[in-house]
Amino acid sequence: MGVNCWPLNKKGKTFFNLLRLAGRGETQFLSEFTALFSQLRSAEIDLQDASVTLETQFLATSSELETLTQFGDRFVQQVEKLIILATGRDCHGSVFSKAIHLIERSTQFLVECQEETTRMLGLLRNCSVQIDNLLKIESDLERTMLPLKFVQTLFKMESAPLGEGVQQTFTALTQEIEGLHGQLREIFGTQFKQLEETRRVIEKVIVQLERQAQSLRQVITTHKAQIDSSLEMLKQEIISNQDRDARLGTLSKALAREVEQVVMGLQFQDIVHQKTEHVRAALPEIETKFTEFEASPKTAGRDSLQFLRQSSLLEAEQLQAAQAELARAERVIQEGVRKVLGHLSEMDSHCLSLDEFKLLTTSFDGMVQVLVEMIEEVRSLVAETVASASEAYEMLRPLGSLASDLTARLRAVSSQTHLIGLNAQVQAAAGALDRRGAGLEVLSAWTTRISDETNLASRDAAEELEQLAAVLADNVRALGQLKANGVAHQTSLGQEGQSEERQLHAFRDTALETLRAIGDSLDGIQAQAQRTLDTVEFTTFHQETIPALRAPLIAIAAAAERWLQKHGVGLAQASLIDGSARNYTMASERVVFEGVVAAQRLANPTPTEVKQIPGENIEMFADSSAVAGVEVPQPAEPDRNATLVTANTSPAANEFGANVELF
Amino acid sequence: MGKTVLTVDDASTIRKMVSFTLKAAGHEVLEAQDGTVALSVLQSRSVDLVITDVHMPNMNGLELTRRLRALPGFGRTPIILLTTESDPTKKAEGRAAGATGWIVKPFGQEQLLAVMAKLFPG
Repeated sequence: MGVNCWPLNKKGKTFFNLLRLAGRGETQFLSEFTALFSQLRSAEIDLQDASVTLETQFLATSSELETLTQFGDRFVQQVEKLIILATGRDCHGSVFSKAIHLIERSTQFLVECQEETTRMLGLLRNCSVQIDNLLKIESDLERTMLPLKFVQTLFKMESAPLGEGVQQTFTALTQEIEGLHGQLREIFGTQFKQLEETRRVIEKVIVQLERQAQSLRQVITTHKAQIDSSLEMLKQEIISNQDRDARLGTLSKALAREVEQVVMGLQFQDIVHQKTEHVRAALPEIETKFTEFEASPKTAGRDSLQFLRQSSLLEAEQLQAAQAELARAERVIQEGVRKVLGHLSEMDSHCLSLDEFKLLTTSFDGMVQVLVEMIEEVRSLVAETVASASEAYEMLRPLGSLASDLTARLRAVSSQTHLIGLNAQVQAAAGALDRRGAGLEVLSAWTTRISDETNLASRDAAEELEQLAAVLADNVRALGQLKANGVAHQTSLGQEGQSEERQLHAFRDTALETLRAIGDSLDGIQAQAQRTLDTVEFTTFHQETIPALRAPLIAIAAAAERWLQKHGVGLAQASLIDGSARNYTMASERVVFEGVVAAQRLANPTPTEVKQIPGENIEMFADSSAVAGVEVPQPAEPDRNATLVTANTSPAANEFGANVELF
Repeated sequence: MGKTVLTVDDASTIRKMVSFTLKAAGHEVLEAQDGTVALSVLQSRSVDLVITDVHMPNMNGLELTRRLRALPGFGRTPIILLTTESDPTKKAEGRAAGATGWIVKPFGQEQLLAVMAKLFPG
């Protein structure tokens, strides 16, 4: 890229030529050319200085952009972090949903406890009825067996006149009856009394379980309502966060696109610099042609001035293209930075709504607080249920064995009574044979009846007791299960609940911290975007420096054109500047070159569609009206929506784009 | 995994843009303003990729490419020419010199990252 500065004309040489041409009426042209070349050289020196300044400005913009994108990246990361926290995108559900599901699971457990308790209550109420029945059987039995003592006495009396053997038999029988009576007294008097105690215990358990069931019902109803409402809130929150997430993704992509445009725009410093260097490289040849013309206007004049005209036009066009590119790059950079700021602000308003910062903060804090309280409440209720089940279990467990024991004893009494009855019948039958014990027959029949009734009552009692024992055993089993499940749930709830509480608090702290950081970031971004924008100021270069170099070139072309017209030389010429193609390495430069070459073939005159008078540094000669009318064409207004593409691209040719090729 | 890239360009804005793009993607970027400085940097540092301009003072990108290819252990290191030049003859010269690819300025960040992804898959 290094280009040597073109050689300066020596003042003496110019003066000599002016003298030589003065007599031929060419003085004015030469003076004009000399002044224009002087202006060109001066503008070229200014361009070199301005190029250095431009590079410094671009570097400043680059540095500010780098800082801005760092701010932007941090901002996007913070927003993303918050959204991830809220939606639980990377951890299979948010802390909120996990907490709610934990409470939901516990509430479901409590519902099951409540259902089981209700079922047990039904059974235990039946137990109470059964115990009533048993106590009624007890009084029936008491009543049934009451005559046994009297029968015993009568047996003694009736058997007295009979032989010793018969007496002994009936004495044994009456002793059996006495023993049985004693057993019944013991059963009824002591152990059956325990059934009343059992009933009291069961009633106590019923009261306790009823209280528990009611408490469960209340909590479950409240929690179900809270859970439903929380789940609905959470659903809405997740939907809006997913929506935020999608918008964040879109905005991040848009942000990356804008930064990409700015990065491309910033590369135009190098591109424009190279283009102006290529123009500078062409200037010595233009001056050489002028020198040839000065030396021999008659012989070299026509071709030299044709070349001078075409070449000046060509370089002016190249400068115009560079000027337009720089102006477009400046606009793209400015708009890019503004759009970056716009997208970040959009993230603020659409993704986070920082206006609702306080509300959001309170909401996070509130939700966390409610969930933590719910977890605590569920935990304490599960603990209460476990304690209650344990107590009921401990109370009911011994009752089952009592019932079983009583059943066995009653069955034994029943069986013994039945045997006594049979024995009495046998003895009575034996007494009847020797016709001495007719009274015994009556007594044994009485005994048999008592025995049958006792047998029946004790069998009924045994059956009732069996059922009672089964129900009690079932309840004990159910309570045992309830207690075991409760303990297991309590353990898991204790661990998960603590972990969930920690996560909820961590979430709240992180969310609040991130929200605060986002607020700070946004302020920083706005300040940084302004700092970046302040550095994007390249107008001096594309509105003054380049036009200052371009103006004398156009004026030189116009002067050459007037000379040619004055001497009757047609402007339609074969291109004399074909060799200049070697100066241009960029496709966009070659496009300009080909356009100028084609225009020369069509005798396209020097551009006249221009509007602006050259700057003050251009000196106009008094009679150079054609030159005075020459204006510098303004760069085409860039398309505000257009994106920057390489000057050398054609439609995409491969996976990377037309300007990239991997060998 | 981040790579070490050497960007060689006499235009500091281009070096800055290459550096900015690649650093943001997690790569380490070394800078040199021409071929001579690049060779000097490579004496003390090994790199995974060289991205060089073509037209530079002291030593241009094509010469740098040829010199690098002649160095032991540099045969397979990718060298990308990043230039405003689009002349097919120059491009062929670059290829003959041993360059891996050719990017015409201005490059897009995504383009550069796509090239990185292609050169260093996974």
